[in-house]
Amino acid sequence: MTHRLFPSQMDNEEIYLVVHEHWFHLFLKILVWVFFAVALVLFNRFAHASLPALFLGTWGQITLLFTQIYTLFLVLALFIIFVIYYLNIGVITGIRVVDVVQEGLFSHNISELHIDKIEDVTSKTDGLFGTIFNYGDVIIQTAGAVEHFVFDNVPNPAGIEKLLLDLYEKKSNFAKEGNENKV
Amino acid sequence: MDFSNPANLLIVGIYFLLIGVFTLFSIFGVYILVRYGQSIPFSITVAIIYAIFFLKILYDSYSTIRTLLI
Repeated sequence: MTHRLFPSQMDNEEIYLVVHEHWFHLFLKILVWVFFAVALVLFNRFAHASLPALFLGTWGQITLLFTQIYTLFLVLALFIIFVIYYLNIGVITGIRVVDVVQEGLFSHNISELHIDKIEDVTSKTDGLFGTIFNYGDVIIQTAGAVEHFVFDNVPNPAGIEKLLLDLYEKKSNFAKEGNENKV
Repeated sequence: MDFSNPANLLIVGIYFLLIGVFTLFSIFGVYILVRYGQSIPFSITVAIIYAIFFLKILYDSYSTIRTLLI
């Protein structure tokens, strides 16, 4: 049982690629999360010895409540990091390119671009980690109202660029053959 | 719970404000995950695992605040 990847997806529409942000970017976000989680672990480990008054009587209850709320915050933060990662996708089908962007919890944008509106495709790999792990941006220039169409921090940007150009070629050759047959 | 002490009222107010915001974000997170997720079984599995953790910690914190204010 699967959802449609985007609302206007047709039943017979062939999906060539569904791409998420590169795992290394998810890893960086989780690294920040781990920093906050380690702070809690260190607090629980060392505060008992250095500040024993914090764990006795009423103050002990208040400290326990604080750590529980902090843990709740950590669990929520990890969940939101995952949800945003999972819902941000780029889709390439036989007839269009779709960019689904989940910005935080309350903003969900879907942009579509028909393959035949593509004017130029650029892949860009920046930085040390981008080069090592082979991820970067794919920028699509369009003939439509939206001038740029960008997939941010996706794996194998050169491969995606090639796929888009191949699909464009295929589509334009198909259109040319159709016109010649009419003549 | 003893609300005659203003400090208790403050603690309870802050507690419920934070829990309210966390719960709102959690519910909305689960909602968008199930609504926009690519696979419903996967989304529901993640949502259930998250809900178990969230509710367990929420229950513990509620027990703590009850003990604190009795």
